[in-house]
Amino acid sequence: MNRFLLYLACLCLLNSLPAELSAEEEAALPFDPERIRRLSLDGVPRSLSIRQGESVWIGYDLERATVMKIWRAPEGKPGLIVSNFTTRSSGEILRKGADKEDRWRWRRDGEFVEPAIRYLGCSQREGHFLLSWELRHGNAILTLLEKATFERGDDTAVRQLAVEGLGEGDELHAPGLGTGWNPLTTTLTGSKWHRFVLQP
Amino acid sequence: MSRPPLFPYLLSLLSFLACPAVIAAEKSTPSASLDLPATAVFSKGPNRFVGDVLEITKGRGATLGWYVRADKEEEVRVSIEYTCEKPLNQAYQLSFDGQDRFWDVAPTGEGDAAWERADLGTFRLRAGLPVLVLLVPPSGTTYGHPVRFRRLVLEGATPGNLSLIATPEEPAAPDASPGFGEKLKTRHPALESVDLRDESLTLRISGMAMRGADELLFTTWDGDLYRVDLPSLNEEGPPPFQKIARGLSEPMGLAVSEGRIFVTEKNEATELIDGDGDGFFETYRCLSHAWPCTMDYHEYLFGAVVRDGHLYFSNSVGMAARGKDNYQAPMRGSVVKVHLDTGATEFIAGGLRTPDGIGEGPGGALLVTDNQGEWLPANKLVHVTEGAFFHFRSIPPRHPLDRPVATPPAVWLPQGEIAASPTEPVLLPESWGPYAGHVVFGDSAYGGLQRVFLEEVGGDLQGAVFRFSQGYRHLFHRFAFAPNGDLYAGGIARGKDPDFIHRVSGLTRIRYTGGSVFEPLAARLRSNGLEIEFTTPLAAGEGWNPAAYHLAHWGYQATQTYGGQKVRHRTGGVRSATVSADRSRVFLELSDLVPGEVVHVRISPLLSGEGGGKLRSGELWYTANRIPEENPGKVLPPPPGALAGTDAHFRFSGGDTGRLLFQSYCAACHSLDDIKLAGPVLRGIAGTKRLVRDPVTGEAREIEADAAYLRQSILEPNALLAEGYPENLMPPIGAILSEEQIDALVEFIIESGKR
Repeated sequence: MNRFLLYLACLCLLNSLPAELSAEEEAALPFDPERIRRLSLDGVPRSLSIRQGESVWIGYDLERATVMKIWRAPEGKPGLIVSNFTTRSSGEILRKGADKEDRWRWRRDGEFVEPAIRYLGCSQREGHFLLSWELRHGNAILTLLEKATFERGDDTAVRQLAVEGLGEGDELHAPGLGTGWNPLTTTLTGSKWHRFVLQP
Repeated sequence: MSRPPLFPYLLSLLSFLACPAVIAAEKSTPSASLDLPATAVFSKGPNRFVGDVLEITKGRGATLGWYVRADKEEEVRVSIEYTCEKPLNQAYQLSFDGQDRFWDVAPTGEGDAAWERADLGTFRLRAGLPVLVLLVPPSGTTYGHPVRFRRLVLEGATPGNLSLIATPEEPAAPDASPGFGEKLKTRHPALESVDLRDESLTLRISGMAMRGADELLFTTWDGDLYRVDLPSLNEEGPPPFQKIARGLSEPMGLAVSEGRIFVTEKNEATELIDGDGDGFFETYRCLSHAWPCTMDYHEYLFGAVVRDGHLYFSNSVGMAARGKDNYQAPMRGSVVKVHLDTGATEFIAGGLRTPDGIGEGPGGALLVTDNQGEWLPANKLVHVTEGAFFHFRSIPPRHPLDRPVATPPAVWLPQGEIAASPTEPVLLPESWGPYAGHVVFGDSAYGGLQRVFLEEVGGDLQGAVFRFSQGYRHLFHRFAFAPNGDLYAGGIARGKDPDFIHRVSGLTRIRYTGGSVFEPLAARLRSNGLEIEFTTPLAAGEGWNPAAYHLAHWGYQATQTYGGQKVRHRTGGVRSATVSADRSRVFLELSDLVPGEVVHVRISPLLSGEGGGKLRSGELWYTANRIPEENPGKVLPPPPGALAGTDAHFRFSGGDTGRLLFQSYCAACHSLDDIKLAGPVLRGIAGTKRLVRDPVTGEAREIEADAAYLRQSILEPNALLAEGYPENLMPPIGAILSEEQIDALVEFIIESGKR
């Protein structure tokens, strides 16, 4: 092959190299917008949405560490409408979020206190997103974790919560749980994972 | 039977008899006080006079101002005679030579008996200067009941010291050409550039940083993070960009420190973590979000600089309520400092508006650019110091660093003349020859690169801005230097026109070639004038003629209304010009230096350099916050024959008010030559049919674009929105233009469109 043809071949090869990721590589990239959107949801500036299963979405208020709403996308349509760097939920509401008055309460040394909340971030792990918050009262700090699973076969809304740093006998009471969830409790203890399933 | 009302008659009679006596007394004994009558304001705007009383229902479009002068410095008390039936929801601003007071207008009741006098505060009046006094109503709200006022009263202690002076006329500007009163059209001859484009991608670059020596990272407004290996860049074919993160929320800043990556997103500062080392980022650690935010589209975190274990960035104010009420979420308009490990957050400066660029300048100075608008009569480059307050004031709760006298910018960047939406400032490295140590910044509306030279005077940074380079496709927003001195520049665009956004967004590599260019390089202030340094020596015998330098001076006064006019705009004052022995510097001896003002120098294009080189550009704007004491420039008599020559250095054709206004306020977004920018093209607009939309009803209708339509669009940009353009995209520039200026602007647009 003469030098000119070699040059042309190299040029063609270069031009054919995709600038964007292949579909496979794109799929391997964390934070797939089909699974998670970190843009504000329904007029709440610090919020994000995670899709569970095929069509159930959970929206989180990151400043309050609460669920804003759980909803099911209309059949064959997206559950989130994206416009101008904001999102709007679309579909059937399965569960409204916690009332503004319903806040995290920490029973610490027998007394109920209301911790200050600070969002710590979001991480994509195998099959789930892990959200974390710092809950602080005075010098005492808890780490609240929520595991939002996105690789599940069914369309049930599930919340998995754990808390690190609770003292023996201390409890953390979660807003928005209780009625409608199984188990019917709002209490987190120890450092184990607590699993809550939204009842139909 | 009631008695006739004798008292009013007697009062009238006494008044009539007394009047000549009072006038006679005033003639013989000058008063220590001065009336500023409503009838003498610059522009009443949409408000109306009833006799000598101005009834104000709306602030926008009105300029309620007067120039006063004191023969000697003294303290004056300012009061206003007014009536107001009901409370207002916002305060009036009194801007007195740049000192601000807010007046919560107390209701007085109804009718003529309700006249009251309110105290607006005490101010120090400088001697000998025309001083601007502005009464600034709330900008955009239209009130159902007027504030009626007859006059402001200035009370001093020295009889005859105060006088009301006529509004100074706008001085004529010399005829302009590119680089001399007009934007450059071409790339700097010592720079070469390559657009690194992949036409399949629209990359609105919002943050840039180097990771190591060879790897460039950049974020896009749309939320992606890309990497590219610089050695692999080939000028043939699309660059091998690789996306390594996605799902970011409107990132506007990126920094890399010791391998850690930090991004400033819409509402949080975030660290991106690649825990498993696969090159992709699976953890978005929220470093801090310790400031309130709303859903306002314009609340961003801008830029990212890491130093001393902290991340520095700025946050902008909201705009959705622009033109109505300037309420802001607390702590907006700050420079924020966040500890990289603990997330501990401090607000080290305030008073910013749209600070779309942060960077380090000479000596590690932290620099921020800010965009003209409410409280910013022009664009700025500010030097961030702990506790600084840069003048943007929100309706209470005010920023905790807010204080009556704001921190001046290191350099004013006059709107339309040298900047329109300035972006990241970046320090030029050693490899950039004579420009090393200077700062360049981009502009997402004006385009190109502008250059700033800074010097320390009295412990503060101040300096001059120079035209540097145009001729780029991309509107530069962010920068990163490779170790070899190549500058990577990322372009961005806003708006709704995808073609325009695609065209001006993307990556450019700019390389300094070392070519010799004859142009002004630096400017240094002396006690008695300004020294200008050139890149190469002047030709022998050149530069001595003061007539080769056209000088203008002006100040700025910030108001709660959008933008601002030049204060005390005047020309002249070059006593002499002295060329240094090596002919690389000219000292201009000036008679009219006023602290806090801009000194604008136009250098004659007739000046030639050694070897006959022609000036590429001949313009600079120096911000003289402080005038150095006991550091005079050397004044020498010109050598024989140096003042000879009959060519006029500047021509004044006149009649170009409309063109200058268009350049200052419109050209950044509207073209007259079919090139699509952020706003509609205005070429040939007069007489055409336009589809407009009522922002309230959302209904579209067709109108004829005539002078009345253009005029209304200038005064009320949201009233009849061109179809396809969003509300609040166009700033309310009509607020700061006089009736005559608007007429001139409309005429210029119509006439230009015919050509």
